[in-house]
Amino acid sequence: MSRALRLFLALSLLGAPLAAQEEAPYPAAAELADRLDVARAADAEGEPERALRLLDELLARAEELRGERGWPSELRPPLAGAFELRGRLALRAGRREKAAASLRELLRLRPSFVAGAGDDARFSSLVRSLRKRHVGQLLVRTTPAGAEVRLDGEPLGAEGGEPVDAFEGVHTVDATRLDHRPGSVPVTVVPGHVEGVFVELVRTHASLFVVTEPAGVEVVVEGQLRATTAAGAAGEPSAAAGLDPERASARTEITGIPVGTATIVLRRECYEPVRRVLEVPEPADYELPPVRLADSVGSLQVLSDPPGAQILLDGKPAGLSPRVIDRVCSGRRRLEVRHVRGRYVRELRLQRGEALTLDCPPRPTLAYMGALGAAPGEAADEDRILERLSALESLNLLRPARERIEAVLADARLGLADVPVRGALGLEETARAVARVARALEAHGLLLLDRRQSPARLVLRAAGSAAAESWPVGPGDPASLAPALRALEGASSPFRPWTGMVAVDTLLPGGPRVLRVTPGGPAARAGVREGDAILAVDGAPVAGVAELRRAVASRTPGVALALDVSGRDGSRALSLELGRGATAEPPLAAAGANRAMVELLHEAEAGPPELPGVARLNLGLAALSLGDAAGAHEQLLLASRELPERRGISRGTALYHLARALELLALPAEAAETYARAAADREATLGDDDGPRIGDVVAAGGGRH
Amino acid sequence: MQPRWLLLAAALLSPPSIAPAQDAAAGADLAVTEAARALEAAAAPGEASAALESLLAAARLDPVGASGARALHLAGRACRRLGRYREAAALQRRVALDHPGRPEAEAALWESAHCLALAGDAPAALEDLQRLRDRFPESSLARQALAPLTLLFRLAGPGSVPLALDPAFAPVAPEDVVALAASGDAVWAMSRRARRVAPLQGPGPAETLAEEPRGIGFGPSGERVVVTRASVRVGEAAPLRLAVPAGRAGESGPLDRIASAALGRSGLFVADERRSRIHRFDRSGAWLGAFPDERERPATRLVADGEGGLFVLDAERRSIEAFDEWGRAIAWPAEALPLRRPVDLAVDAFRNVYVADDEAGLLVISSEGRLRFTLGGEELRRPAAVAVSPSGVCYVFDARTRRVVSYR
Repeated sequence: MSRALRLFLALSLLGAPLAAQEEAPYPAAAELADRLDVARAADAEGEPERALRLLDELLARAEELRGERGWPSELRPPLAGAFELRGRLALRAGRREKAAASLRELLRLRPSFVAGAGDDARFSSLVRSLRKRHVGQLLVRTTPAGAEVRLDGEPLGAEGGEPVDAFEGVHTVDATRLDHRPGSVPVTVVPGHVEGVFVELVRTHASLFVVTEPAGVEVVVEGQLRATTAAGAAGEPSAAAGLDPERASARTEITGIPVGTATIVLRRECYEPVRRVLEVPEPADYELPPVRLADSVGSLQVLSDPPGAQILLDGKPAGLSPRVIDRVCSGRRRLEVRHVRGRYVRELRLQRGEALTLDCPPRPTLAYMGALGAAPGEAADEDRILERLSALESLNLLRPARERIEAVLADARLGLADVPVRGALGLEETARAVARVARALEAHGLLLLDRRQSPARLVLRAAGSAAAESWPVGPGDPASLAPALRALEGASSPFRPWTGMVAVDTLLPGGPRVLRVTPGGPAARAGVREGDAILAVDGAPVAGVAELRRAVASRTPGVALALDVSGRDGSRALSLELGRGATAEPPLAAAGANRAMVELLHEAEAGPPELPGVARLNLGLAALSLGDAAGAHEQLLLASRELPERRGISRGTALYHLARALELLALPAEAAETYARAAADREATLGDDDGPRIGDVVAAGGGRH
Repeated sequence: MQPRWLLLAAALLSPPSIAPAQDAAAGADLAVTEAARALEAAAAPGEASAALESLLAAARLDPVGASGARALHLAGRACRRLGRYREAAALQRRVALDHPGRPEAEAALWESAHCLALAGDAPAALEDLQRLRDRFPESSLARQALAPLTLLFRLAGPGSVPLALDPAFAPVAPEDVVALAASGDAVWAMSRRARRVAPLQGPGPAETLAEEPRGIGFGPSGERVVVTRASVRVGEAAPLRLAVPAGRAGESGPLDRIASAALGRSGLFVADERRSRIHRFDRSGAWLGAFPDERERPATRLVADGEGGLFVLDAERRSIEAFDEWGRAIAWPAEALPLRRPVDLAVDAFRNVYVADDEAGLLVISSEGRLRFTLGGEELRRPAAVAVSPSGVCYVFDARTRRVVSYR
């Protein structure tokens, strides 16, 4: 029979929990326990001699493990078991001396051992006899009471109880207590006698007792968090006069306070912290006068358009917008407003008593990925930059946990250092990997601080972008952030308010002249006629097209403009309700492409239903401006399928730019065919809804294949 | 034989790459520089065409890059020089729309507007000029665009009365004006009897001429050109005494009976009464040749247009001919026009022609040779001299009332 099988049988027979064996923390103890189990199994199988032999071997092995101070504590349980079993077996075999020797050793290890009621009379008699000859008692007292007591290093329990059994001979009693110097006393145990032991402990540190209202207040001593006041028992009268017994904490002890002066801060979120200075002339117990913490809250009014967005404050649901949330704890709070399309995220610092009102429009989201080449001393600068970025009006800034960022980057097989450059993966693969990372972090773009350059640069890379863009951010100088902040704030939507007319400046008297009115458009519906002069908008005189454009741009679609015009029939007052027009323009510089892409990615989620196609078209243009022909092709192909064939920015516009992407991909025949398809959409325009018709541009050749 | 850069560019293009390699962009840049030089030096349409093809090939090398935008822009200008205005406008629009952040975008809108107007599409030209003002509001071209916007809107804008007499314009003018010239806000008149040129409007000193006056005008850079019977003076320089060089039998000798002269982008054109020919000189007075050819061509008035071309009026034969800078006749069906006794003409920036006809009034003719409208009435019975400002204001001397009137 194998050893393993025997062991299994022994354990099964004895009903010993297998887990206890498996969990043996000390290899030698486990070995002895195994050997003991095998011996027990041999005994159970009716082989007592073999069991005795095995026990002898076990104890011989145990002798090898004995140190100068005897056996380690961990070995004591299996050894005690082994001596007990050997004593029983030897006695049964008629070898009384061996039995007595074994049981004596058992008493040395476990002086409290006594025979049980089920044991046979011989065994009980032998144990009683041995106890009389070898076991005395100890009664330990300490000053102050309540110390932990050990006998020869083995726990003896707390002092103050009944006398405890102890084997004869010389022993050492050790006593320890918090805030006291440990005490040690030698003692000789005489069999049959009770020996009294007294250990006096000298106090070295003070204790402080605190009661607060409310409970749960952190007690910080000399900058170190030492305790949190516990809730008082229900119905228990407060230990401190003047506090509300329902809200007051239990009396809480803070130990280990050295002699001298201690600065104590009591703090809890949503309450004003309280600072106390405690004089500690000697190590003793002190009571801090009861402390009531004052509330520190403000209020938030959360608005949104449209209403009904879900509000999360510090990640917890806080109702639907619009809503006034009272009693919001002061300090740094994270507000998130989830709209059906998009979200608004903002980290804000609420002051005590402050009432903040926030419009919470859906905004594009950037995830801050951390700093490249950061030096520990520059962390404060990073915090300053992030605080400024968090205050941006047009962007959400997320700060995912470092572990999360590392996991997401690893999943996309992207290094942080790949974000500012095209990356080892190559242009297209890096762009896709960046898109995966951004998607996983629920962001439209990635932001990081590149400190490998001097000055450091703030790097932005939109999801799916073929190249990053960056701005210098000098250390310590707030003004150095201005270009980055300007660039990040300034992004326009591909939709604009639309008048449906084209006006031109002339040197002729009167305002700008209407050159063209789109049939069925807002201007046509309002009664504007070609040739009219625009004299005033909403009562303000208009000298030129620039003023007219400014007036229109400052309104939103659906708003009515009051126009004063003059034409052949004299002056007229008209009301023009602005429509919504689309634009399809590449970013004016490649440096603006990423910010534009971030906005477009957001718009594709958050904008009106017809937007995805327009956003994709503009994303394609941004990719083209970055030289990413494949990325542009992908977006523009989708856009050409999503956009309808109609007047203005439409399917033909997407096809035109798709043809450009095909040119860039060195596919001239496909490009030519696509240009022809674009030109076939007679009313499609370039630039914006009022732009030149593609048919006019393409039909004239313009150098195309 | 292929130019060196084209061979280099072809080598760089093969095999095709997904993104323009830096080498390809550098190749395109070199190609553009060489083609731009070739275009600048082109002395014949074939050379300009070759430069155009080179520029288009270079644009394909770097479709989204800086050199691609520059190549397209220059190709547009080549098309314009070749008179292919629709194509030129399409190329410039590509620059403006596909490369809006490039430095060429601003000039491209200016060019596309002019080309569209020259192609007869005034509404589209107006829109591009306005786009220029919208997109580059602080630029000098945006300010300059106001004049052509006004001119085009006056002539082709919707619902407007084309030109109306300006009652406020009543300068003190000589009674025998033979020529008028306008540039910006300045208007000059030339008097035959007094042999004087003097401003009717704007700054500048009056001047008495030593010889019989024959005409006054402005060059492409705004320089004043004063023409007398035997000399031409450009700006403040000394008068040029022009001559056909020796060696041309029967033709050599000084030009002492000049009928008219005009300074254009491609040279100084002079109508020689004695030889019934038009000669072309460079700005220093060096003879470049007969223009457009060696044939006899009597001319009473020459007007250079902004495109490097020349409009020629022969009052005797009541004909108007037009030539491009290469000397090719511009299709311009003057015979279909109701000319009765044309005596002077002016051409604006978009080749609209303003003919002072002693019997028919002031005729305004489009760049395609279509009569836009005729002005005349009590105030204008016998137009004898005409000038047009960049913003389209017409100044006309009426021989009957002996007054200069203005239409705006």
